Amino acid sequence: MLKKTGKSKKTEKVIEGMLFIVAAIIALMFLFPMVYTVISSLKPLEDITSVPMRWIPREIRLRNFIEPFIEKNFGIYFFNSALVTTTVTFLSLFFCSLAGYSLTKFDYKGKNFFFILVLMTMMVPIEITIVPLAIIVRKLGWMNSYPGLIVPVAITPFGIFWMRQFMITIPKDYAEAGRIDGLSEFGIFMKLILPLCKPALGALAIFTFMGNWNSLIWPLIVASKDQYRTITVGLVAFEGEFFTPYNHLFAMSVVAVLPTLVIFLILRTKLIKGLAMVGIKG
Amino acid sequence: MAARPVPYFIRKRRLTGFLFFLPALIFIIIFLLGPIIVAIGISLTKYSILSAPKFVGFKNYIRIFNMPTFWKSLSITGIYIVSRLFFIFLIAFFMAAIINKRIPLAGFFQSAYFMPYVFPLAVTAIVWKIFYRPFGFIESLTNLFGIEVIGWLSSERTALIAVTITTVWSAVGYYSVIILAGLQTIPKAALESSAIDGANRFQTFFYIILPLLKPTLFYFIVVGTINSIRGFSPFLVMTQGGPGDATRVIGYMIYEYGFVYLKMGMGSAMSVILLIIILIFTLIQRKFFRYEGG
Repeated sequence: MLKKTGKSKKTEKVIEGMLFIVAAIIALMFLFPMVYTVISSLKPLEDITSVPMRWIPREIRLRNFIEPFIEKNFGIYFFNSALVTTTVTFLSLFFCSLAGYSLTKFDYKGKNFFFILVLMTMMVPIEITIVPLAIIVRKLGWMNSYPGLIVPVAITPFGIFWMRQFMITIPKDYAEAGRIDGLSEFGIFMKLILPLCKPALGALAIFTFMGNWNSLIWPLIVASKDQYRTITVGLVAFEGEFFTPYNHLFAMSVVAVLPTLVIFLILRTKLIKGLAMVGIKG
Repeated sequence: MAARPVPYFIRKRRLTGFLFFLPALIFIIIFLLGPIIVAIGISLTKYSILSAPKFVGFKNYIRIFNMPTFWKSLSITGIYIVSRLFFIFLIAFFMAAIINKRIPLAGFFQSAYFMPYVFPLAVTAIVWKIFYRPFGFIESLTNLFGIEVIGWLSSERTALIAVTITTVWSAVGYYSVIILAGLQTIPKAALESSAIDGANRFQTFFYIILPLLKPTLFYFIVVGTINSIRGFSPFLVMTQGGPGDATRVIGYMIYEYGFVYLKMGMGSAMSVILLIIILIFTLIQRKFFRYEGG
């Protein structure tokens, strides 16, 4: 072992202090736009548009958070986002882990080919497929409908890959024990395997929830009617109107961000751990 | 010797395994593989929603290759991806290194950096679009530093930079977590022995850390590139490809042809070209990094 001299220990401390200051400055730069957004959501409109800008609002205007729900269809947008996102998350968790289980604990013809299929389709960005996907969904009669918003995004190759990577670490003995106990194969999956996958499922649930709550392009294509718009589509349409009150827009942006933000703040460590797992393995 | 018949319970288990994958298989065929094949088919036709597809051979491809806007779009996409990933890597590596040092409040800093990533990109784009307004938030800040730009998003010189700043802000925390995970796989012994050998910080970085980070870097570049291509919603919200063609990235151009001009044939042909580019790019990276992994 190298013994550190007092001097080098001191420089270590100085470097650490400098790093801390830079880290704090970066953190401020990251937080400032968020703080500004929250403040703006509480301002009267003139305080946002005035030149020069008024940083501190003259009055706190909570009505910004209520008026869009009355004057516009933001209630419907939030309901649609909640419905679509939770349904997709449950479908995705179930089918992705079922597929991942199949790829790790069974031997059958075509299994390796299926895995390659998953890896290949994982690399395909939606930009490649949106045009034909829209045609297929139109042929199915799913434009402007919940199935159109939900089904085409219900399973992701990434989810399958993710669950497979986790399940590969589970010893085969668990399934064997279940078989000896007389459980059906599906029972083994539901009662023995899934509970072991909690960390992976939790992370995948967050990814899926976030990804779908945040997604814009696909719902924008499916939902041209106001009653099927999700929150992101509704916000973009609102922003695109001839006269948009910025304070309303900021307020609705704050509300739109809340669900994923709350989940992130609660499950932060799990999320970050999950990400680390992919980084090392994939 | 004749092969022994496979016992019944093994055959049944094989079938079960296959059945467990079946829903995913059907899904992949209809919603992922199918569209690619349909895209190739439609790319050979003249097709809008209003009229039936008409076979035109490779006409769409020839037209696209003769379109200056297409080549411009490709180069803009390239510039966007390279500069975005470059800045993301610089900042994310720095963030990861700080967190790895376990300075006080490291956990708080990490959350602060990561937070923008959980916001819907569309919302981020809307909010930043208002930030970039003339006399808005950003200009009020840059004026303090003596930088005078009137209308970040309405000038061809600054529009792409403005969008890049937004998308870097939004995702860099996520990438810093990936890089941090990579850093933590580097054995302490490797760093200590390089210190004993008298290597300075730069030497340690280039000769010890970077080579050991190869798998992480591979993941970073592949995922970062694909995410940069697929995340075109900021362009849709903030600039709609403009001003002029300054921010018309390929993803947005495909969207435009498919859903604004309703030229499905042309849009599909562009998708196919993009798919081929991504495939070649992934293969080159794979070779270049000699990636081995599970």
